[in-house]
Amino acid sequence: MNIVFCLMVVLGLGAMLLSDPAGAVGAALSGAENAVTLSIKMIAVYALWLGVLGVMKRNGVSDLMTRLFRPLTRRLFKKESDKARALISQNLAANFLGIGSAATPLGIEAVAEMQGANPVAKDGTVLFLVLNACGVQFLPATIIALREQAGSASPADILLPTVIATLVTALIGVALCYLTRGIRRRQRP
Amino acid sequence: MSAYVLPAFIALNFLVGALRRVPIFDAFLEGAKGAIDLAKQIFPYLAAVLIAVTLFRESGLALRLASLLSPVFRLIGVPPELTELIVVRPMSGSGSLGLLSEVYRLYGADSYPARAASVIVGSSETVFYVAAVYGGGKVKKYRGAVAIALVATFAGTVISCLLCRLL
Repeated sequence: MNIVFCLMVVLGLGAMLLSDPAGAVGAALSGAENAVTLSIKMIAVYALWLGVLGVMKRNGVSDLMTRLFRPLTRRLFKKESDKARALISQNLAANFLGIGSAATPLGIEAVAEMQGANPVAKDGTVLFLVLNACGVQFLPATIIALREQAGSASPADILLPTVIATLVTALIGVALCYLTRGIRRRQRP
Repeated sequence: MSAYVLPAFIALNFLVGALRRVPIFDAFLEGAKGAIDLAKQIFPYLAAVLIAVTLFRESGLALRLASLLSPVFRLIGVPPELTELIVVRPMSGSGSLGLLSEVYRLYGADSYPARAASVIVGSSETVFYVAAVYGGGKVKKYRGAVAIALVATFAGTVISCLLCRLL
């Protein structure tokens, strides 16, 4: 992340110094402004979904989701604590249901639970981040709606290829995590 | 379909809670009180990512990288019309939806590039956003997680194009 961030900012500013020096800082600021607007919107989204998650913790639905995903999480996240695995299960469940906004707070909590005070990502955290960054959301609802608006004759015909592509991408991500474990061991936490 | 899923999901949860005599109002407050702290915790990461991404796009670098890559993409069966979308996809969710609409407008929503673009966007995530936000404060060294996600996403992109030719 360090290198990527540094490269994008330096190259971006460098290119803008040549083409549009007056707009460079403005562009950086508009990015930050986006973050402000998005964060405020996210407060609303989190208030709703963290509230619902609070209810789910008490009515047994959270436990149900944890149990449903146990066969998967027990294999993929062997070394993690029960609490971390429960959070991971709920994050995956929220993703599968297409509730990305509920998946985010659960994911953050899962990472915090797995990492403790450790600043270097553990194997389990790497796998979890990869799964979420590859996208395990199976219902491309927004895209089907966009296609419909654009006048598509059968907007939902992308559903099957999307589900297959999502699955394959996640599998490749998981496979890469396992394959590169040896190489990454040098940086082990 | 998903228009029904979310409201039904929330209502069902409240109903199940009520049947099990859960104090729903208290349980809701218990959860929701963390909302502002969470947004506060995420904010610096979000700001950093969005500043970098905005600079990268506004400076025209994203477009230049896209045009540099498009002959390579053609070779592996990815429509060159989609290069910019593919470059932007891991960086910006709203940016890639904007480019997706642009593809629909230019080539028609049922054309091959439009279908491929839909599957590419639908089967992937905003990698940098997820890494920054999920790692939020806890993870300083990602140990290849971001790189792996990018490689897997790219493999998924190639597969998406192939699937749209076959299905």
